Amino acid sequence: MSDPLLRFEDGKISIGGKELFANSASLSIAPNLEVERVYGDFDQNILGAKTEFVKFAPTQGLRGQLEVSFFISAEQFTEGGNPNTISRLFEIAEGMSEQPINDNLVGRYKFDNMYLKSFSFDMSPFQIVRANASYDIYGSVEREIDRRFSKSEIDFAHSLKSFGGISASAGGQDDFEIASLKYNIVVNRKVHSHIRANEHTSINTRADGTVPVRVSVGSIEKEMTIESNEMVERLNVYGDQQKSTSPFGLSDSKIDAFLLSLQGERIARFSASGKIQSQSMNISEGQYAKGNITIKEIVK
Amino acid sequence: MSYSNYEQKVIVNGYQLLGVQSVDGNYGISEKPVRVAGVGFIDATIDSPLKGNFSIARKMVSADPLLETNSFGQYILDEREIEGVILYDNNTKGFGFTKGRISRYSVNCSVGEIPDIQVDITVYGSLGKDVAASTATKTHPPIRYPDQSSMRVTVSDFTIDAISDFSYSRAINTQPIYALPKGSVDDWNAGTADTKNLDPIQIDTQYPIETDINFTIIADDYEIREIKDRIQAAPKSDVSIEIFDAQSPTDIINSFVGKNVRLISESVNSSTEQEMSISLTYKGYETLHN
Repeated sequence: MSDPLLRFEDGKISIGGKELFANSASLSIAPNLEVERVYGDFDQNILGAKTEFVKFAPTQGLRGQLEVSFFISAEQFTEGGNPNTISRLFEIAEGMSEQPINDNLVGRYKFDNMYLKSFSFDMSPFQIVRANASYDIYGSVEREIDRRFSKSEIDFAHSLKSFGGISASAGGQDDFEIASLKYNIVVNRKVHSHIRANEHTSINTRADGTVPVRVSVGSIEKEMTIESNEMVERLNVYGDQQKSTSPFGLSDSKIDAFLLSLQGERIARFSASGKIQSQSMNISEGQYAKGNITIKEIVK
Repeated sequence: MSYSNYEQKVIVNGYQLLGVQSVDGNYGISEKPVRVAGVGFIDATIDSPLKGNFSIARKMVSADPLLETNSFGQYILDEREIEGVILYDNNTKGFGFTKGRISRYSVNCSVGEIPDIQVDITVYGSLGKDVAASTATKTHPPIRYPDQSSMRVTVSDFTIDAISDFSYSRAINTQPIYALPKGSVDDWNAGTADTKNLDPIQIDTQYPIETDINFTIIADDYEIREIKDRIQAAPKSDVSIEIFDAQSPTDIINSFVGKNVRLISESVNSSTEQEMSISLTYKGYETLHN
């Protein structure tokens, strides 16, 4: 018999059957209910009918969210010496699968029908790399026994060895010193439900109820933002750095992030190649002048 | 094997320092525990850059080479990184540092003593063996001693009585700025960053530099001011401490000046064992551009 409250040390978190080194997770599930009111019986006092509440009626299936913050490790995302398998677990790419992620566990609760919505990570000098993933969930959750797993030494992605860089349209930016770097990729999805599929009374035989037939990928966009000592000079209306007399034929600007573990093992590389969406410079008392540059890439 | 107290040399900013009484060096690395759901504590990873401290206590036996000034009269080491080393075992071994910045400089003296100099250095670079030059590259100023008759404290707005002790200190706050390592695809393929950025990319002095001057006088002509008058008037004074060579009383060994400093406290001490004394404390702020 387990304790009534689940300890952090016993609350394993896994996605698609793969354990995550998560330091926090937030799982929420909610039905979408509408209040149904109707006109009632004749009331002699008002010579009419009063409205009366009948019931809560579901208008959609159960829908939930999972927000998970985790540490990226070499062991988890490098297989057979091949780096970059992080993109397999957090696959957000053109042509990505629309299949749901099943066999998920957060503490004592397991669930299926989960779809990745966004993935991001931050790098700051001398800090461990923290990542965040956000998912949409359709259906209900089931209780499981307490799960834990044992790990002694993990080779985490760390900014001590990881590195980054920026190159604007007009060439390399050697003068840029990056104080922090943020990567964020978002997938916008569309939920498809078939009327006939949800009509049959069999959907009420399970708590999951109705689940989407398909959750398609609408668009995928990624952004990378750096905090730096400089701005990109001569930014033109197309979001390019223009040092020549023509705005045409300029290459995209690019920010790269290369994640390496503390032991120097290559884990994954990320980039955003596109147009400069925004940049700013701030200076305030007790601070240096800090610039922010954001580059957006449309994946799909 | 141990190393006796007369077998060490302290070299800072290219000078082999004279009159050294003690040197303390230390460094620290900050770690943060990593806790994971379903496991608990897994490991602790580095959480901040290496930072060290060096404290050097000396007797004032010459002009201080760490008080070099530029053409504007500003202390050069307020804005400049220094390196240093403690040499021992016939100068074959050393504990050195790079990218050090003076964080505090103070002088204390009482009647009957040679002034004490305390220098605190914050180290942002490397620490350990073989990290700094192992020989002196500059010539230290010659040895000259002051005595109690060769020191003078001057305050611009009153005639001072006999001084029994004084202290002078400057606290310099520095801010190191760190950046992520830099690299490209080629460096990714090589498995290491091109620019590792383990040291700060810039270290800046945070102005103003606070100057504290305190001296104790034997009460004679001086009378403590009426405090409300002083608060309303908020007068500023120039205070200078000049330390001359006892053998050649017109040659200054070191001098310390507090410009536009404000008297912030006065205290009177009277006891059966000694003469009545008055202690005055001045505070000033040095700026970068004016």
